[in-house]
Amino acid sequence: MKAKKIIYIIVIAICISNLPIFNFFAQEDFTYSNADRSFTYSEEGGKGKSFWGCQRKYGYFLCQHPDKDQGDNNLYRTFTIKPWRFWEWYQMIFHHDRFSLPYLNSNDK
Amino acid sequence: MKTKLISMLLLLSFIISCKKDEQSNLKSIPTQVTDTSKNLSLAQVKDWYGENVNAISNVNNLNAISTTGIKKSFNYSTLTFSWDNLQSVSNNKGNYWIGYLGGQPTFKKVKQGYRKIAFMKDSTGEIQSRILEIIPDGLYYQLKQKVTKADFTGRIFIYDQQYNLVGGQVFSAGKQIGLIKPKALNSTTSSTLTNSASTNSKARTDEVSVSQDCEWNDDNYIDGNGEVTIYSELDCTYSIYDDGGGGGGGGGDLSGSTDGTGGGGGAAASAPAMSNLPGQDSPSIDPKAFMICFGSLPDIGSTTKITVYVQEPFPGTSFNIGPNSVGHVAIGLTKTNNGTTVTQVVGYYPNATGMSKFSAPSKISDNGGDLAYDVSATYTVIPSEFNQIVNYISNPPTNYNLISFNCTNFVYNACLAGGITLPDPNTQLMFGAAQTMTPGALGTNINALSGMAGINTNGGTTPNSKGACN
Repeated sequence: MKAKKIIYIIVIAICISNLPIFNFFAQEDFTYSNADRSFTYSEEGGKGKSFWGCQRKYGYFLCQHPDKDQGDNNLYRTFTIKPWRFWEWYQMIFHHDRFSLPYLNSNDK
Repeated sequence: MKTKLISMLLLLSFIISCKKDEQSNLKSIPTQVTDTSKNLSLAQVKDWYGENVNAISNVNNLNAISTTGIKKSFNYSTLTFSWDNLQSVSNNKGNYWIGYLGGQPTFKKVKQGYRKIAFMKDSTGEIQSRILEIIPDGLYYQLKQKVTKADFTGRIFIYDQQYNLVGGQVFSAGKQIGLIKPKALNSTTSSTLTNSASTNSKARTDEVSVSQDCEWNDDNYIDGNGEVTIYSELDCTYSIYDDGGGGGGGGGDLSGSTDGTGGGGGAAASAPAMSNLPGQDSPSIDPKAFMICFGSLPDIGSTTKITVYVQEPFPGTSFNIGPNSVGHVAIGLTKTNNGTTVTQVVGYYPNATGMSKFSAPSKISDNGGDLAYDVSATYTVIPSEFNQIVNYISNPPTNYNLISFNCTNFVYNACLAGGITLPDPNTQLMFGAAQTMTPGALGTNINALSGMAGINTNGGTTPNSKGACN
């Protein structure tokens, strides 16, 4: 009975921590770039800059720079996935597309 | 004869000796009455207090302008302090004694700040006491957790020993930025308290002009004696216009500015080509590199517009937090000349992560094409006003604070620099303890203007920015 109560409390705490109202402070500013890093983007959790905005910006960037649309025109994530961050599980489950991007180590030259 | 001579000498010596006493008495009396020696001892203060504590009182109306005719009184003997806590402080006029006093003022509906009592000599050597009400700024106190003279931010009200407000000062980061004085009694605004008078002045150097805008505003609070004090406060704001031309022609930064001593600027008919520098779409941008693009279009014949984009925290409500977290406000600038249009949309952000975002160095980010806004307001301005806004954005404030200077403050002040007063973005947080500008309040008040020219309440996505110019 006590264990059940603790589980309930943990589940509720996790749910609350995933509410978007905490995004400004809690959510990581996920970062992205193209292969040669001529395009970079950083989300601003809770301040208007989102993965949706990143995709729009990258599309516009490729239109403006057709040469960057040749060869590897992939958009990469430059952040690492941190599954222990329970307060970002909602994003990982319901907005997993950003986590599905190929990874580019930001330290690689 | 000899006896007579001795008697005369004795009488003479007696008279002289009496005069000596009289002289010494005359000399000592003035030193007691008009003792202007600069040092004030605690014993003198105690003596003065003992003699005057029951004599000082005030049964007249105090600092409130009474509309009911009720007399408010003050009795000096009701002040509570400890002699052991008094400290001597030296200054260039001698010294004074100061210590903590019981009681607490109520400012902005919240009990905050503290009182002190000071004893000093005036220019005639008379001992006087003053009561100080020190009210640190709420945010300053929250961040620092202690008050220091070096960076004090807040207000100090000074009362005489009859508890009449005699003046005060407003400080920011240890520097005096304003004055406080008793509200003029002949004023009729006892309830609205929005009386104001403003002055404006400008100072200028070769490249920088500083504009000072000072305004007397009436306000009130409840002093430590429990009475409403109505006062006038002189608040000054300073805006710096940086011509940035560095002399000589070329460059073309902000051509045609009303303050323009900068470069002549080219009369190019078309905007420069998009730069293709690596990292130009980086998360934070160089605002100068973005704003300089407007210099490529001449002011004469240009149409200039400012658009404020608001992403509300909880669209359609005045909540300051919601599905969009805290929300965001961005500013868009558009200059059109002869069929060529330059648009830049930027926003003000903290350059930090996690909880450090509350107060951090600031950065400007490009919000063009990636901000889904809920409401917007568009204003047409003349080129000189447009250039003032461009200049403000080129030199943004360096520190972001979620409460005292956030994205809404930035956009509001940028618009103000160009003569645009946005709908009121102020709202009360924490039960009235702190007033701040928020996207929620601005969005609500723009929504209230629905149907007016330039107001969009249907939302949309910000237009793409032109980007940095070489």
